[in-house]
Amino acid sequence: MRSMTLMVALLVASPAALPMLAQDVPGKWSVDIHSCSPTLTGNYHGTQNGQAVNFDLVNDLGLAKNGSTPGASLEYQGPRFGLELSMDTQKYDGDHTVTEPVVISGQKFNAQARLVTDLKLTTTTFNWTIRALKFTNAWVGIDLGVRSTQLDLNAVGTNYLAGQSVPVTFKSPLPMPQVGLSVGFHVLEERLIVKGYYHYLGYKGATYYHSGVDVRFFPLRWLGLRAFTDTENWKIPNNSLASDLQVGLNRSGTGFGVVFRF
Amino acid sequence: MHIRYTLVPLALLALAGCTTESSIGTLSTSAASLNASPAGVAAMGFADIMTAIPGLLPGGAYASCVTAPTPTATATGTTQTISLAGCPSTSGGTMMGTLKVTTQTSAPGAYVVNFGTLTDTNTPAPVWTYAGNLNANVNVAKLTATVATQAGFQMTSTDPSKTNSTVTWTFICNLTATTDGAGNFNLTGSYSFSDTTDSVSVLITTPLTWVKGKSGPQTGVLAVTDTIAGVATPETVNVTFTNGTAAVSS
Repeated sequence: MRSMTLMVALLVASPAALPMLAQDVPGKWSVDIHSCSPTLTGNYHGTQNGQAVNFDLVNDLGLAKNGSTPGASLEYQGPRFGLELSMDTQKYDGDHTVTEPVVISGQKFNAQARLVTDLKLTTTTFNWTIRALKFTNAWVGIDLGVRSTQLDLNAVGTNYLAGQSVPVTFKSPLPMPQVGLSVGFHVLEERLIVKGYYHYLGYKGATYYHSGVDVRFFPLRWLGLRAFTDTENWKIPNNSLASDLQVGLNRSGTGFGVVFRF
Repeated sequence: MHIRYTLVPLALLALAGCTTESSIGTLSTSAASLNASPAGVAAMGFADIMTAIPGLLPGGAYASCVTAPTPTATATGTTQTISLAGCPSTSGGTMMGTLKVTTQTSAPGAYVVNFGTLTDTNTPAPVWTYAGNLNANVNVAKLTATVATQAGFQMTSTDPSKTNSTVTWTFICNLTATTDGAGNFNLTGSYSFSDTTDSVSVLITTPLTWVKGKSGPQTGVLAVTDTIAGVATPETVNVTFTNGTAAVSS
């Protein structure tokens, strides 16, 4: 998070040195296809919807990346505002013998139980960027939007003592408003475009942030390559939003893609 | 900034999991997974071993699949052979092999049962084999008996299709049998199976009953508790016998 803050500060500082010559150039649409396989860590402890939960995605379930389906996004970058609509899906698998009791959707699995799990993480983002400060080759904007993150966990646990198996599912939708700052600049006649963003929400000790940097290079006017980093973090301590629920999730990764601009 | 203050509560309500869904499927136990588990060994492996007992009790008789001299208990110092040829086991397997019954004293009846070649082959695996001696001391007048292992009684579980699948369990029991003198009897008490990492203790919470001529316990409940090295909380399941078959419940 520190490095991300520094990155955003640098991005803010760069355009500040540029002359403020805001010119309204025509907006551009772009479509991209990308791939991103972020690491996912986190845990759920307490009671959710009246059912006990107590598991760690990595330490208890052993979830690890198992590929992703290509994501896609549609963007408009205009002189006054930008729009972004994107969607990604990642898959994680686990096969782990638990060393201490684990509870998923109220079903308890004792130590030595074998848990075979798969998790699908789907994110959909709609973001509106108001370009509040405009410079010749750069801008500073305010982001407003919504980002939906959906965890779909399927697990089959096999009890060690008697070999009993039971399937359980756990679904956790996490729709989050996106509020924050973004900065961007372009050089080489818009062949190189760099954008950074930092979105944050905090309430009663619970925090959420989503940050990233997106670099696009267009060897051709209409065709470019994209590389980006994206980090998202939820921290919900016990007794902050619910009296008996603690959630911590971290999703972080790097992606690459191809961009078609028109 | 007022937008933020409107959106924050909405976001956090969502985070609180208002729309979270979950479900739990049906608990299922396959014969293979139960047979390979410590509870399977402790319940159904035990039932195999107790196959030796019915013919030693007053008025008792073995199931029709067992070939044994009648009466099995004979003069002091003699050894009789009991043959099992395709006897169905409570695990769904097939028991084959021979047991040797040596009469220590004929009155009261004190017998040593040697488990020389008994195997229980389950499909799918495992295959269970037994080795060791069991003491059965019968009090004909009181229609009771004690059944206890001699030191070193072992049961071995192997899956021939897998390497390194062999687990050797040490079996220790000290049980009391009560018979009606007509071949029906029940067992009470406790016993244990242990290997290098597991220690499975079993308490007969509802007496196991055998009916003359039938294989395996016809009724009864076991509480099976497994203490595993390095695991703080022992786990317990109940195994219920009905008409010679076993079912597990947590």
